Amino acid sequence: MTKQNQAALSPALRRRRLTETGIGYLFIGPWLICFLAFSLVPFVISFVLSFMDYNMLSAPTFVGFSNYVKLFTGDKLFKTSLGVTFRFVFIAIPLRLAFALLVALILNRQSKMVPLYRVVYYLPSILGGSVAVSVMWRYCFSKTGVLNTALQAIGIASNISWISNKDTALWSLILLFIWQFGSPMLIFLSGLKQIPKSYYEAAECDGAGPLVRFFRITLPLLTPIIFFNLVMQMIGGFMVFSQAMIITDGGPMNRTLVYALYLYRQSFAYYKMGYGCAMAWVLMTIIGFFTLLVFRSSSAWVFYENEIK
Amino acid sequence: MKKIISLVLCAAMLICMVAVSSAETALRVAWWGGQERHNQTIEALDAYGAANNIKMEYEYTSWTSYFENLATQAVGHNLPDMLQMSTTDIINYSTNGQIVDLKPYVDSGIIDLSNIEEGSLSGGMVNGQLAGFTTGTNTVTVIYNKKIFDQAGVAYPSNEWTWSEYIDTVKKIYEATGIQSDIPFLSEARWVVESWVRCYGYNFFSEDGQSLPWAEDEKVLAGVAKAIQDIADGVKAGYFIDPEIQIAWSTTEENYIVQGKSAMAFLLSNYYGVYCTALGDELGMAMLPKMDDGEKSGMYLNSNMYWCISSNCAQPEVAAAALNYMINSTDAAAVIKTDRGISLSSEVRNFLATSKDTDAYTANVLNYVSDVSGVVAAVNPADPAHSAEPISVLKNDYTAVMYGEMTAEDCVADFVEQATALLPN
Amino acid sequence: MRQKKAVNTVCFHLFVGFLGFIMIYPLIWMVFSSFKESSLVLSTVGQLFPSKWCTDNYVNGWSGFGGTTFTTFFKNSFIVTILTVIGNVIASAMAAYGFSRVKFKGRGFWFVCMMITMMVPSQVLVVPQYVIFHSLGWVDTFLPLIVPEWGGRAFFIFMMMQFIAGIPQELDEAAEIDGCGKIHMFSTIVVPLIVPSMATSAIFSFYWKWDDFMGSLLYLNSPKNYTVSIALKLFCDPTAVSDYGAMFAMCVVSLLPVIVLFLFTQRYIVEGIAMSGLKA
Repeated sequence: MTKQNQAALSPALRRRRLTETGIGYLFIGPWLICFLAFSLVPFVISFVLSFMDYNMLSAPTFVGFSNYVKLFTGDKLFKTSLGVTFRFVFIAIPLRLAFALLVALILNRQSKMVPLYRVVYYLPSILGGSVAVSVMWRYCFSKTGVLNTALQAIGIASNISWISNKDTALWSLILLFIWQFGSPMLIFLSGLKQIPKSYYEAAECDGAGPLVRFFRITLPLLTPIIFFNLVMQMIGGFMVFSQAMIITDGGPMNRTLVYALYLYRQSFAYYKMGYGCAMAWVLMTIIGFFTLLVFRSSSAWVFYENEIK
Repeated sequence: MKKIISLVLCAAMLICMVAVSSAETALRVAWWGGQERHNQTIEALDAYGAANNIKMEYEYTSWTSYFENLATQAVGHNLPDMLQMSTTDIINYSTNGQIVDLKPYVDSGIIDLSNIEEGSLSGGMVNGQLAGFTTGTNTVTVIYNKKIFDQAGVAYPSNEWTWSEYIDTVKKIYEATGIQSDIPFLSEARWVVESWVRCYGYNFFSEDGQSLPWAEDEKVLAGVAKAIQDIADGVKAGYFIDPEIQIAWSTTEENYIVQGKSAMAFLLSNYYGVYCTALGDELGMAMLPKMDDGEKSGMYLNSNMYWCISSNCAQPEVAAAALNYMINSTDAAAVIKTDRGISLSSEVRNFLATSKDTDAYTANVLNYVSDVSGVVAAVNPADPAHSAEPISVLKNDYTAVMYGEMTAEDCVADFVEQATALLPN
Repeated sequence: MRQKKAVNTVCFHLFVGFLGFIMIYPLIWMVFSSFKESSLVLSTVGQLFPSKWCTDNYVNGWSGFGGTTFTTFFKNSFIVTILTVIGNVIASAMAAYGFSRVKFKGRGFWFVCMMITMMVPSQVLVVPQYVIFHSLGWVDTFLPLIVPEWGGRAFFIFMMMQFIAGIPQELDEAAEIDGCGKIHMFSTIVVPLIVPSMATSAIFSFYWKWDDFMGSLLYLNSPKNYTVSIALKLFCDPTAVSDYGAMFAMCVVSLLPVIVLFLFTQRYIVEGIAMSGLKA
């Protein structure tokens, strides 16, 4: 719009534009206030602290880039923890999403028992990162635990202590993460319920079988939900912390030392909060990068129904 | 006229006195622990608060989050008045001025030292200041299952036994009964490595906390490496428990020694009673074996934990008096017993030793610690600053050796290298 | 045909039921363990059923610590959680609508800010946030736990945006023609359509807050203000012998409100209003 045209805009329209801005801020108002007060300031402080040596018990001292330099050149565990975290994210997330979708599909039918099943499948997630879960999980995966007993019952001689064996320790955490798939499952269910039945009926009339219906109707219409779950789970996966701390404490031999756990240790156990902040910013950059990747790719595979013309 | 003035002054004084005594002082006390410690501590402090007209406010959590909580409070200058402190963190809090020197309160008599040897306070000394008052001492011990020894026909360990005798004992019991022994201090290698280093006459950390005093002594390095190698060989040969199994134990009940499946275990003395109760039988206690080529016993005494007073405490004398109560009072000791270690006060120790309520296990620990005190000069000082990270490296490397992923020499070399790099300020 | 359907149904129930059983076996184990004598809990792991049923764990557990019982802890948890849920859902819905459907200056910028807030590891914000709350004098109150939640959560905002995106633009245009303002449109049209996602947000918000440990611990210093999540952790201190029986018992009890809530609200989530209704 040229300046001339803009001037030619009726005052009413201009007023409307302004009012729309005002209304916009009204709607995001609560979020914005809390963001500025409780997120932005700490956020900026953590950035500043990443250039400081700060043990929390006395004032910070400026050290320039040395935290970052040490992180990338001198810190063996930095690379180890990144490696562990990447392994975790790229294995656990796809598996968790796949299970969540599978179970949501199975439960997406009318049946009196289904509400009960939904609760059952959701229960593990409710337990969250509680100590009770960790204790249970440790038992189930121990040498004499339920998992080994079950495997032996079906003929696999399994004698491993899953959480302390260096090759399987991370898997015990991955399995815990997958076990708690209730949240993405619920979201998938909501999404499934919003797909109009009329589409399926029409497809059936046309003679389309269940697989075709899934790939041609369900999946495309679910893509916004898949997109959402993917982004959310990925971010959460990069920040996984409490289970690693409580169940394996990073062991054995740092095989389960996820990044957030190492960050926590540096900040609070070794009293190097400045270094921890630097680690946090590196993590944020990594998460931001991958999130951006997913966002950019979304135009290729995410399909919003209101774009049907 | 004079009479009136003096009357008025007297009245004013009386009013002031009444006002002061009826004003309630409040005291915030913080500690970590489990349910039993919370209940016991509250019981003891409630009694004190009631008797002295002090409103007690408690802040208790579990160990895992205590220091994160504390550090955050320190940033906000909001530390509790009286706080429980650990050996790994006290130096940070003291050198950064977050906790106060307790010497003035000792000198003024608020904290009573009449039953306490001055030397035993060394655990809480930081840079010449008494940063924390040791709540009790603990030490390391080898606990052993007498019945298994009897079954194998092996003599019980003596307090003077050597490292090779220890390894032989483990082997003999395994060959005779098929029962293994725990890997020494797999959960915290530092406790056993320190005992080896001390056999050669060195402290674990240098006095200024900037280095390892034994880092250059080839004899010590070789001795430590050999000892670690002996254990690793034992793991491979089968007479030590598989590290994969041992590392998974997180509760008392999971330990093989309380299930009768292990002959010996290395333990911190304050857990002795708990283990005996879990086993349902009395376990034997022996001092750690001496290095064959060492000069003396490697035993040492630690402060279990400390009571400290924060620098933002408004009424430190009140806190000091409460601290004194927790350390010296036999009433408090009757409730808390040895949960925070063996008391520095001989009066409390005697009280517990002779009390009807004290069970056999506690008596054993009391005797053991006093035996160790006869062998050891003074209580260890607190850990130096920046020591947490190297200790973690040692634990990981030691575990790696047991898993067969690292050689003993590399483990020692890596620890020394990292400690030398990380300890200096 | 009917037979095939019957077989289908049986297979469905068998498969789903069996898988479900495996899923919640650890939980079943926990419930049964809570009825065992505390010292036996971990030594009889393989045995599901207690040899002797006892309710001591529930009594011991409920008595809490130093005189503060779980009655107090539950009361605190409910206050904090319910206020959080209300704030979360309302503020998130508002922000989601604002970001999706209202064109305002700076929308893109604030959206990116919102997304970034999700990627920040909380451990790093902990210390600066504490200083802010301390200077406001909010430490040892519920305020630091509740007030920030009245800005919504990025997770819910983003989720609701996805659901709003599915509402056809024609609706907006039709409403505008009818002279309906944005605010009115929000309350009368959009909100009813995103009830499923609001219900989902409510559930998540509830149990995240119910389970929240670190945030509660930092700001609630006096045990009388402790929530259930803090109290549960107190049972299991690594430096002491833990009372697993009592912990499991209280864990079971603390699960009940969440399960009940879920049972009541799940039909709102899944009985989403079919799009076809909109077309009419």
